[in-house]
Amino acid sequence: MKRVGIVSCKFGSGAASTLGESHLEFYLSVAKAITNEPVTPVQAPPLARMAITNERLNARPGAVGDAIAKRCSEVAKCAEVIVVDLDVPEMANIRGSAHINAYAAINLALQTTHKPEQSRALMLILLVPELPDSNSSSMRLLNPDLAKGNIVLISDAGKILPEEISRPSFNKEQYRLKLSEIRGKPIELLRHKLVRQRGHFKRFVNGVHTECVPLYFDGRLCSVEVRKLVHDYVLQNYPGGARPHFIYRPDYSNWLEGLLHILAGEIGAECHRVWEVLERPELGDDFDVCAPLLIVQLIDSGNSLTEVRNQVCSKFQLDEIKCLAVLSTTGNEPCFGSRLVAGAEIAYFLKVPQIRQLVADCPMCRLDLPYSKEGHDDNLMLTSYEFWTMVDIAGLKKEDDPPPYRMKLEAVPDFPRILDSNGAWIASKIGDLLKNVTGQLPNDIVVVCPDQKGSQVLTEYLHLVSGVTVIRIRDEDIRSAKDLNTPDSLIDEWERTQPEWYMQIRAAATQKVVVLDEFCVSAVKRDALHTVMGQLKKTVVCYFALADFCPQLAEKSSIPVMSLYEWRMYGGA
Amino acid sequence: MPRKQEHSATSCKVLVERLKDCKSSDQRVLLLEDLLWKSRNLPPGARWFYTARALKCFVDGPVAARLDMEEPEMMTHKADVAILTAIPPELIATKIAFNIPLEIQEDEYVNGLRFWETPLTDSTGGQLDIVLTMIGESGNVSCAAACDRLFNTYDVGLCILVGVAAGLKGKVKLGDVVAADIVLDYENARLESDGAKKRPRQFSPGVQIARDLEYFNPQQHNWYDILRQASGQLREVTYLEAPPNDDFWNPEFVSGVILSGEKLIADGSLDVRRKEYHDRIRAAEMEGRGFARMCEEHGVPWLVFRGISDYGDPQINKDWQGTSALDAATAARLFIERGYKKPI
Repeated sequence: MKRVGIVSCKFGSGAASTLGESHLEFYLSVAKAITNEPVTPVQAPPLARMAITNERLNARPGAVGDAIAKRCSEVAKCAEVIVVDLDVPEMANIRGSAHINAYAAINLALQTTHKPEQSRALMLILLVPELPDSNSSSMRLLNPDLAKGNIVLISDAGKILPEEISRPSFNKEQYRLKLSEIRGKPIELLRHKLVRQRGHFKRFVNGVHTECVPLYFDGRLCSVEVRKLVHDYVLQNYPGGARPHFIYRPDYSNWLEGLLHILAGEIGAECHRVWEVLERPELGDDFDVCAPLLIVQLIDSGNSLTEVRNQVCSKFQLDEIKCLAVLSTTGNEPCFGSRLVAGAEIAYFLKVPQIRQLVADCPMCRLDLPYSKEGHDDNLMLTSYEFWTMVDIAGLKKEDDPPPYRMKLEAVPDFPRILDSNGAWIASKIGDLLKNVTGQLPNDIVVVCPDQKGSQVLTEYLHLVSGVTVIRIRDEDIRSAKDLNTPDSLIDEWERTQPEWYMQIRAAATQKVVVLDEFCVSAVKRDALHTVMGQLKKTVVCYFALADFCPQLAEKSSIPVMSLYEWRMYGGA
Repeated sequence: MPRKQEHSATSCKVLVERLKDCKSSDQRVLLLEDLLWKSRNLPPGARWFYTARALKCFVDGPVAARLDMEEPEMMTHKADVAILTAIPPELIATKIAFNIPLEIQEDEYVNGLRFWETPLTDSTGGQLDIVLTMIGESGNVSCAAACDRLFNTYDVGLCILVGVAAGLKGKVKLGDVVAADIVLDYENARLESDGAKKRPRQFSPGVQIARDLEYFNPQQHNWYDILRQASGQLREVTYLEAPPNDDFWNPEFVSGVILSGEKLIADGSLDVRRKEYHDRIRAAEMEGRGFARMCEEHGVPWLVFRGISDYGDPQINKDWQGTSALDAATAARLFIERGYKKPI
C-alpha cells in the first residue's frame, strides 16, 4: 500500500483555498494508476491549496520555488508518492521562467527528501497543463529523475513522461475526463465564460455593409473548454484513433486559431488554414482515408462556411467533409445541436442569440453610434446604450437588502438578471478596469465584497472569468464596523468566533484587496469595508461598484473609486 | 488603449431617445437622473438642448412646442490636457511618451492640423483625456494660430507646449528640461531715432498651475527608468538618435525663465541676453510667446516644458533633438499623472 501525499498549487491566484473529497479521490486514482499499486492518503480533506500570485511569480520566482519545495518536503516525511498539481488557469500569467522555477522546486524537493541513506524511494507525479519541450531548461532539469523513474509528468491532455514505461492502469481519456469533471463540465464553462460583447458591429454580405448586430461572441477565455469539446468531438466522430486534418479560415477565427493548433499538437492531428489546404493537392490522399474537419468559431448565415466547404470539396473532389461550429446563432438544441446549411449538416456546441438588423433599421446607426471592434471595447466603462439595453432586457426591481440606515430604493436595475446574460462580459470589463487602476492582473487581487445576492453573482462571474479570489463578508460584520468605536474589541471578537471570511482574509497571500459591491448608493458601506480592511492591515487598492449611484462622493474618497456605470441617484445619497 | 467613458454628448443623445420610447415611469425617472448627470460636462447650449428634449418627453401640447430648440453647434470634444508640439521630432517623442502608436491615424483633422486623442490615468485612478497635435513649423505666429484652432476644436482644461530649446551653457546641460515659470517676449521694442527702447513682455502660468509645478519633481516618479524605456523606442525611429551616451544621460528638471522670440539663436548670445533681460533665463525658443498669449486669450491654463537640445551657439546641431524632446515629453506626462490636479 503506497502512502500518497498531495501538494496542490494554483498559479495566478490571490488567496489559498481548500479542495474537497472529489479532488482527493482524483489525485489518489492518478497515483494508483501510475504506481499500479493500492494507495492510501496521508492527508484528509479539506486539502490546502497554495496560492501563487502572478506578482510573486514575476518578482520572486525563486521564492515560489522554495515554497513548493518546502511543502513537498513536509509531505514527503510520511508519503512515498506525492502528487503535485500545478494548476495554471487560462488567465494566469505564467510563462517560461516561472515553469523553470516550479520544476527547479520539484528537483530541490527530490534532492532534500530523497537521501541515499533512506531506504524508501520517493516518487513525484506532476500534473501540469502541458509537457515541457524536450529541449527546454525545465526538461534538462528533470531529465535525470525522469530517467530514474522518480518523476512522472502528466499533461492536461493525458500525455505522460517518461513515455517508455508501460502503465496499463493509466487511461489517458479517463484521466482527461476526470480532470474536466473536477474542474467543471466544459460545455457549462463555455456557456458561462463566453464573453458576449455588446456593441455596434458591422456585418457584410459580399463585401458590402448591409447589416448591423449588437453582439460579438468572444471565446478567448474558454480556449481550454473549447479544446476539450473539439477533442471529444474528434473521439466520437473519428473512431479507431483516426485524426482528421483541421481546416479553418483565419479571417473568421480570432480566438479559434491558437487553440486549434495546440489541440492538433496534443492529439497528433494537423491543422491548416484553408488557403494552405487548397494549395496542397497531396493532402487529397489523406482526405480519402479520413474526412477533414472544417471548424469555425461561429456560424450565423452560413454563407462563409458554405463557400469554404465548397472550395475544399471541389478541389479534392470530395462528396462531403465534416463541419463543426463552436457557436451557432440558430439550431435544434441549446447545446450539442446541429443545423442544415445549403444541404450540409453542421454540428455545433452552443447556440447563441443574435439580432441582425438592416442598416436602414438599425437603432444604433440612427443614433450615429460609432462602430465597435470585435474583441475590443472602446470604453472601459459601459456606454449608455449598452447599459440601458441590458436594463431593458432585465427590467427593474425593488432593492433586495437595503441597509437599516437608509430607505429602500423602489426601483433599481435588476443586476443579478443583467449578470445572468452578460456576466462574462461584465466580469471581463471589470478585470480590464482593475488592471487599468491597479496595474496588476485581476487574478492577483483578492476581492472583498458584502455577502449579498447581487455581489455574490457578480463575484462568482469574476472568479470564473478572471480567476480572482473572492472573500464575502457577512453583512452584520460590516454593520458592526460601520459603528466602529472600539476596533480592537471587534478584532478580538472575530478572533474568538473565527468567521470564515476572517480566516480567509488572514490567510490571503496578498496584502492588496479590492472592495467590490453590486451598487453604491451612499458610500457608507464602502467606508465601513475600508475600515475593516484597515484594521486587518490590508491595503484597499480600489473600491469597485457595478453601478455607482453617488459618483459625486468619489472625489472625496482617499482610494480610487471605479464603476462600470454611474449617475447621481437623487433618491440615494 | 480604450477610453474610460464615451463622450457625454453621445450618452445624452442616447438617453433622450430612450426617454422618448420608455413606458415605465420608474425607468423614466432613472433615465432622467442619468441624463442630468451626463449633461453636467456639456457646454451650456448643449445642456439646455438635451434638457429641453428630455422635458418634452413629459409634457405635450403648446408647452412641448415651446421646448423645440435648434440643435446647437456643440463642442463634443473635451480634452483635460492638450499637448502642442512644433516639429516632427517633438511630435514623435511625445507620441512615444504618451504611448500613442506612431503609425496610428489621427482622431480629428481640422484644416491640416491633426489631433491624436489618448486617455491617461491620474494618481487617483481618474481618467484624463489627452489630445496631442503638431503645429508643423516654428514661430510664435504659427503657434498662436494652431492654438486658436485647437481651442475652437477642443474644450481644453490645460495646455502644455512640449519641445526643444537652446539652453544656457553652465546653467543647464543637454537633455535637461526647463519648465517655464516665465515666458519672456524679449523682442518687443519701440524703435526711436536714438535707438530701440526695449519693452519685454512676460507671461506667467496661472497661480494654481505654478503651485502644482512647485511641488513637482519627476525624479521622484521613476523618471529615469521611464526615459530609458522610452529611449529604446526612440532608437527604433532611425532618424532620431537617442541618447548619445546612456551613462551620462541623467537629465535634471529645473524651473526658469524661457526667452521667446522670432529668431533662432545660434550666435552664443544667450548669456548676454541673460544679463540684459533676466538673471533666471535658462533657455530660448520660438513659440512660447504666441502660445502663452493665445492660452490667456482663451482662459486656458498653460505650461511650457522644453528639453535642451543645443546651447544656441555656432556648434548648433540636431543630435539631441529627439532625446531632449523625449525628456520634456516624459516630464510632461509625469506632471499630468502625478503633479496636476484636475479642477473639479
